[in-house]
Amino acid sequence: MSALLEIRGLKKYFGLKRHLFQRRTRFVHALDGIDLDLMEGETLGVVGESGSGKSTLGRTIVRLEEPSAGSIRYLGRDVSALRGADAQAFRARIQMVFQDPYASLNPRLSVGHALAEPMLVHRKVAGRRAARQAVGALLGQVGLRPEMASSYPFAFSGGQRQRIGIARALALEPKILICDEAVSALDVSVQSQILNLFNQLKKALGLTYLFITHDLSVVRYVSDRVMVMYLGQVVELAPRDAFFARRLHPYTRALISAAPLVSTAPREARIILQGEIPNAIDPPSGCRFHTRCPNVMDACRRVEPQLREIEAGHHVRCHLYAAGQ
Amino acid sequence: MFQYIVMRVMKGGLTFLAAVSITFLIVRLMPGDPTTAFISDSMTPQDVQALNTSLGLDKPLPEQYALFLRNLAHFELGQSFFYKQPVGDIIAPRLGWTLLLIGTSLLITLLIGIPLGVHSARHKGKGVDQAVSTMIVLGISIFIPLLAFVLVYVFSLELGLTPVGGAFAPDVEDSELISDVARHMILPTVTLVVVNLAQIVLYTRSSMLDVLKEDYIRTARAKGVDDRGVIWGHALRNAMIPTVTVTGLMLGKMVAGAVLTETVFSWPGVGSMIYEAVQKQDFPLLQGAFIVLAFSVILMTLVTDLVVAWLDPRIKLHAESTR
Amino acid sequence: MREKNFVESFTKHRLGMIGLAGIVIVIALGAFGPLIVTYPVGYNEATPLAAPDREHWLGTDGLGLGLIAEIVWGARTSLFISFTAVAVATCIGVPLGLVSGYFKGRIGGLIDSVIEIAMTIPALPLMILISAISGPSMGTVAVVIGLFSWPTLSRIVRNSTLKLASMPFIEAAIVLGIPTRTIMFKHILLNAAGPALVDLTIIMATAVLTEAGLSYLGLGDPNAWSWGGILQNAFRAGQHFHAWWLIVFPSLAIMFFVVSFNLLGLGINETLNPKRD
Repeated sequence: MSALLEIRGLKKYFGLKRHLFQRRTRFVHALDGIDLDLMEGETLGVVGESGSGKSTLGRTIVRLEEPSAGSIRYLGRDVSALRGADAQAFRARIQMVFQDPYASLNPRLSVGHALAEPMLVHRKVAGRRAARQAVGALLGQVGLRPEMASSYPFAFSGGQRQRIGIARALALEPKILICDEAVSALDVSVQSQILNLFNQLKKALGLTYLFITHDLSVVRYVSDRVMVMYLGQVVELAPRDAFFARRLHPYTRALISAAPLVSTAPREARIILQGEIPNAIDPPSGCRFHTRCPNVMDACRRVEPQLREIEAGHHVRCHLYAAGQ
Repeated sequence: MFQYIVMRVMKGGLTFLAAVSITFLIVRLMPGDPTTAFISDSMTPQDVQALNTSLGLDKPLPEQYALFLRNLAHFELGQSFFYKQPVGDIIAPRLGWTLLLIGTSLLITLLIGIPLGVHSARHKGKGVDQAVSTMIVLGISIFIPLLAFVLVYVFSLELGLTPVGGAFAPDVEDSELISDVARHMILPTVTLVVVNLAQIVLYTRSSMLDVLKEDYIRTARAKGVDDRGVIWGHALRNAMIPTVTVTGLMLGKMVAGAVLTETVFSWPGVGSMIYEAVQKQDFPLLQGAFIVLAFSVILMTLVTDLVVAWLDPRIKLHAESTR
Repeated sequence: MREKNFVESFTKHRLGMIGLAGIVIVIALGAFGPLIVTYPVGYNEATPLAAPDREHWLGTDGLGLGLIAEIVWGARTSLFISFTAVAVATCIGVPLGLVSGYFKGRIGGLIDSVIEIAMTIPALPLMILISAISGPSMGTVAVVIGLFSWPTLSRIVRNSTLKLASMPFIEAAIVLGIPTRTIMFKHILLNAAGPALVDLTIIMATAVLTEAGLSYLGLGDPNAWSWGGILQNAFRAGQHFHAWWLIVFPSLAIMFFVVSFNLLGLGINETLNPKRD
């Protein structure tokens, strides 16, 4: 398996508006040095609390945000340098499924129009007739009927809308699909139907997923690998089974213990994290998790731990697993 | 706050610069000979020569513009064709009459409109809603000359209660001047109040309804402050903010209304002067009238903005955080 | 709010439908009236300043011309002015509002300042100056009114755009590589059209009133009948106090048209934002 997407040292800072007597602009460190290889054909689940930067990661990859530093390479080419037609071609390769199925469809465009427009813009089809056929095929692919093309979004349920959103993302025949909380707004019964659809599509089309969610049971269901983010950094990255079996990082342990149904390992006592996630304007010194960590040590407050490969494919950012231990 | 005032004054200055620059460009970029706007048939060749020098009409456009601004800074607005006097001297006494009329009607509009808005907010319901929106539609649809004529027909010609026009009787004694002017002002003031009242009622009412929903009002009520105290003590100050804002935005419309109203009632302000200047094709006078009215409106808008800032501490913070 | 439902619920709004009917009546009057009523021209010595009677339903003016004919032909002027002005205002106001709302940063701020400046400058005295210098012509008046009507429209479109630009469906369009132009003028404008439509009716109403005011002040086109011009003729000849019909009927025509536009706007507004009870 080769890396489809190579992300190196990716940073995204949001400047805050300055107050009158402030000398320097303050920044929110939404992404603070992300290194990641997304392998062809895999599903990488990205978990974290809100404020962890997981959504910003997805938005930066699809270029809704410009990175502050670092690089994103698609098949070896730096995508931030792309302009014009090349940038358009790249857009077609990576698509996104959004969280809110009600807000992510334009209420004034018919489903057929919304699906045909990107294909016509990218010249995937020529002419209205071809577009209509392609729209029908897309709708069939996501389990909807081709006649639905003439309806407007208000006529559909949340689950159906999300299917339309997926069809729209597939219209450009992408290689990678970024799913940003793509099922979290849906009812539980509908969630599993949509997750099954994602799995079917992956098999049928050979897609690669970056699956961003706060829901560990979803991650467990769809992922090949799992990545945990905390305050703009990766704290653990591992193959799914190893991740749920070993749960090395104290933060991971806390997350899993808070959602006990997802673990097959013997249940632990629930670990309750102290306090809220600190704000990302002035992140804590040393290990960013030390303010809430149950296993905090002296070194954690001073020295920032690095992301280390502890076992094959299992990376952790924690002083508990310092070299030699 | 100081920073906000400085910013706001600068914006006012910029607006005025934009206004006078537009007049400069209009006169010079109009199709045909630009000088026709300044030179009337009754001028002697010497007059024309003097005018050309003072306006710099023989020089390139940027120099003309610089000269135009310099003249403006010295309050030189040119020479009226008809009166053969400096435009400033003609407008100055008339401006007072216009400001008197606009100021009085604005004051009365607010004195009637705000209590009416508060009252209608306290008695909300479908009937009141309907009445307010109908009032708005009628208010913004009034053709001022019709209203003014109807008032004159009824109150002056039929009932003989008010004078037909003007600002005072020619033979009035000095001691009775004020009451005579007041009598002459009744109808023009009523006209402007009727036209503008609906909007003030609407804004006071809708902002009052918003404010009454807020937490601190509920708290005040829970603490036992009586209804009257809540409305007039706590809510009104906040509800006033949109009302004052819309008052600022209405000033331009009030000036337009004043031009028409003054014309019907022969009120000796800038508005009726504009009418006369149109009839006499007195372009320098029209240009001067616009510049003076623009300056007045911009100044009054500035004042309303500062009042809003004083009422609403959030604006101050906002201004600081966006700089 | 969706297309089908909008039309359906608008038809249930009584005042809005009355407004629409009123506009249709004026359009019909302007379109077909002149086919029946001949253009009033010259003078008729027999009946100057005749009060309304069976022969002259609305009376005659100082030249003995029937007021009905003048009002029918005047409808054309008001229609031309209102539609031209709204077209000019739309061409300026909508793109400026979209651009300033979509590009929030420096460009947006700059355009917003321009909008604010344009809103503060008192329009009528400036329109008077322009009309006086350029000479009376219906086309000039219509364009000038349009040139001073766009700021409110721009503000409204800008405010809608600011809200819409961060909606996920706009982000989806960006990710799909839809050109920015298409996003602004299709995806956003389709959703901003409702509130803008309300303002268009207000612009048309105001345009009719402004034209009447300018004509009343003597800045109308002397070669075309207009409702404000009838007033100006009476006023200038000093007939306004004894020939009340010369004031009342054209004024009522003006207000009928203006009220119709404003009721239409009220209907659209209340259909788009139903009252929550």
